[in-house]
Amino acid sequence: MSGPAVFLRLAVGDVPAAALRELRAGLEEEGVPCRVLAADAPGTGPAAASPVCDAPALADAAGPADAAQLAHEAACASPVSVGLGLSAELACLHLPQLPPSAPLLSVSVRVPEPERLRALGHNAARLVAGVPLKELP
Amino acid sequence: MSLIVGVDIGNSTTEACVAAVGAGETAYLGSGLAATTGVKGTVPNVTGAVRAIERALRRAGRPLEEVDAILLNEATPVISGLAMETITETIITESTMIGHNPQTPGGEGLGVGVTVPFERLGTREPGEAPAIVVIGAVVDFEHAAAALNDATARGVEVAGAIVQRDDARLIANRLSRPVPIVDEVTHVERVPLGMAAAVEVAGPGRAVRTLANSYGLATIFDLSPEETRAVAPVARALTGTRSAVVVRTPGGDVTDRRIPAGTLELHGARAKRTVDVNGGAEQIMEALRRVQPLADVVGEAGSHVGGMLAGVRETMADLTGDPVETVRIRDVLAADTFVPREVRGGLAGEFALENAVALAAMVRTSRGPIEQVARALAAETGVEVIVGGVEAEMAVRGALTTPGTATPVAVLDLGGGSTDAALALDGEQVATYHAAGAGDLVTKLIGSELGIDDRELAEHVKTCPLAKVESLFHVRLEDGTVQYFDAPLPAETFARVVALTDDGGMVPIPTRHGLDRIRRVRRDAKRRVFAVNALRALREVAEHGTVRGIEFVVLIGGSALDFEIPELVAEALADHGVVCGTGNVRAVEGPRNAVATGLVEAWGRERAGGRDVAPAAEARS
Repeated sequence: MSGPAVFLRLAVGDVPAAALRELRAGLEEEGVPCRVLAADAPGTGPAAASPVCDAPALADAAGPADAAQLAHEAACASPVSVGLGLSAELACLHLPQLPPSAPLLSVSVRVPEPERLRALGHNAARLVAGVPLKELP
Repeated sequence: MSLIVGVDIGNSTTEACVAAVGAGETAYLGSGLAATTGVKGTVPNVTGAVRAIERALRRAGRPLEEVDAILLNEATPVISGLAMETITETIITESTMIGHNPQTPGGEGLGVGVTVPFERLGTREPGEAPAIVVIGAVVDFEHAAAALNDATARGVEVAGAIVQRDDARLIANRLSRPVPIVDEVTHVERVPLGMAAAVEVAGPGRAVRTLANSYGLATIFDLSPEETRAVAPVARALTGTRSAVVVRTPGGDVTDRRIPAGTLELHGARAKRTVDVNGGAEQIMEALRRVQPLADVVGEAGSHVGGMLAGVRETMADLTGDPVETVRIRDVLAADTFVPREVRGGLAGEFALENAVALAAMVRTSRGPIEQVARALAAETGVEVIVGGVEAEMAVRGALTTPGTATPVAVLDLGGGSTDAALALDGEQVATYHAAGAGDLVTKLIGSELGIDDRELAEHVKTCPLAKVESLFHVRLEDGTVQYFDAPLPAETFARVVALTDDGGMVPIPTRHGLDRIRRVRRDAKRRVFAVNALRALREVAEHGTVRGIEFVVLIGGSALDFEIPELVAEALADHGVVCGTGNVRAVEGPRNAVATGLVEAWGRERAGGRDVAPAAEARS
């Protein structure tokens, strides 16, 4: 297994690539590594080699489409206890201590709002880094 | 037995206590407080007074109809005002520098070149001066990185970049040859183009070195000794930042100007002294000591301080209805402070710390229409209202109900607007002094030094202990201990310093200052006002001006409820061999209700034994 990283789980099927890019850019700007996981295999998803947000494996993502649920699973699996979930509808930021249905922050993906998604990525990283969160624009 | 209510109308709080007074004995039944309505000593006070009386009666379980008399104090006719003026100003006459701390700059090191807009990078030729690329918010980070790499591949030297969005690391991570990048430059369009410039990004946990060094700037830009002198303020302004940009523009300049703040004329009863406000608080207070007792203070016409004092006078005249010419300033407290101000001409919303002087001024008003308040209160309640007792004497009497106290005792009333001292020797006279400056000035100092505009927030910082939210489930308190929570804390408090309010709330303090720094500002502000004023006021009332002769100092008033002000005052008095502590009126009220209790005590003794008490007031101020 690789070092500490925020885990990001993708829903099955069509996940907007642009949204994924923004989330990962936010994390990268903060310098916090991120691993993208297949939905059905918490903690054992496609091994992302690079410490900084390496390539996702969109193809074999599978599992429930609920972004909050995915984010919660990712948070539970993540060594730094911060998880992101992304479906075709929603991007969620989660912590293991929260109820699965109540993510800390979420952003709609239906309407493209790159700024908000970027900020969500920043905030995932900032939870790890201990830096005050960005306001979602 | 008579049912008596004592009422004390203070600057911010009105207090009442209910007692059954019989032959030689007084039984206290309940007390209450309410916010003072209107300016102290005016008819609108009645609303607040009635509220406090009702609360006290409810606690006592007695109806208003049974009350035989309401006692009202002769309010001290002093009110206070505040003013603050900056005395330095940093101006960048032509934009020349950006020194700020974006959370995440990119790359590392120093890059020197010429500012080039991103759009013109493609047409730049190899062999030209190295480029400092200026990138606006419309450019995506991948596009930006690709273009920079492309230029490098063509042999165009890229030395650094200035970016508007929070993209520095994203771009730096994608460069074939990393360069220092400063981001979050809000006004990137104001960066002068085609000018010599330097970008410096320090490693994690470090600060820029070359650009924060005057000779470093001289080396980069090949400056003459004369020019080096001119850029010294730039270097100083960049000290301690992690990343910085300096652009050299012809005629560009940062000036560090001292605003002529003007002079204060202190008119004493016997002497007059003029003091320059630029000299700072210490000189002002020293001059004040020499002219005591103070009759009035005038500021130099047309100067900052003149405007300041005129403002105080006008506010006071408005409040009291006295003509402005008759308002006399009877005490001032000056405190040195600093104010973070946005640098004029800055590009990234930089702040510079400007020096400032805060002044609290106390104004003596004509003996107020307390009789009118009494009549209105009688009409409202249907109970006889008796005006009696000078406030300071009543405060002493009430404070003496604190267990363990005896005369000679000094009572320090730590209020919102003024710090009042009253000294009672064995039996006879009571000397009083009203010192300008108290809780409101502390709030103002805290607000300005931390750059908090919101008064309510500054008030929270003043009155509440701090904590750092370390995770969404735990905070670290000021003393280093940790407190855990089952439910997650609000996301906006994460990694912030918060004020812990009495009701268990958390108010995030939206500054970048750490907990230690906020704590230091808070305690220093309290010390500069209350420790200084406690000593000042005690010296004025003490015989021969020596605090040592006083045995007991009892702290009362709203600010004595503060969690650390009493300890700071006690610390300041520790060298003088006095017993100093927070009062506990009637062994139950804490520092509250002293004057209301004193009124009832005085009335009871007068009934019981005639005139043994009622010491003559000797106001030395």
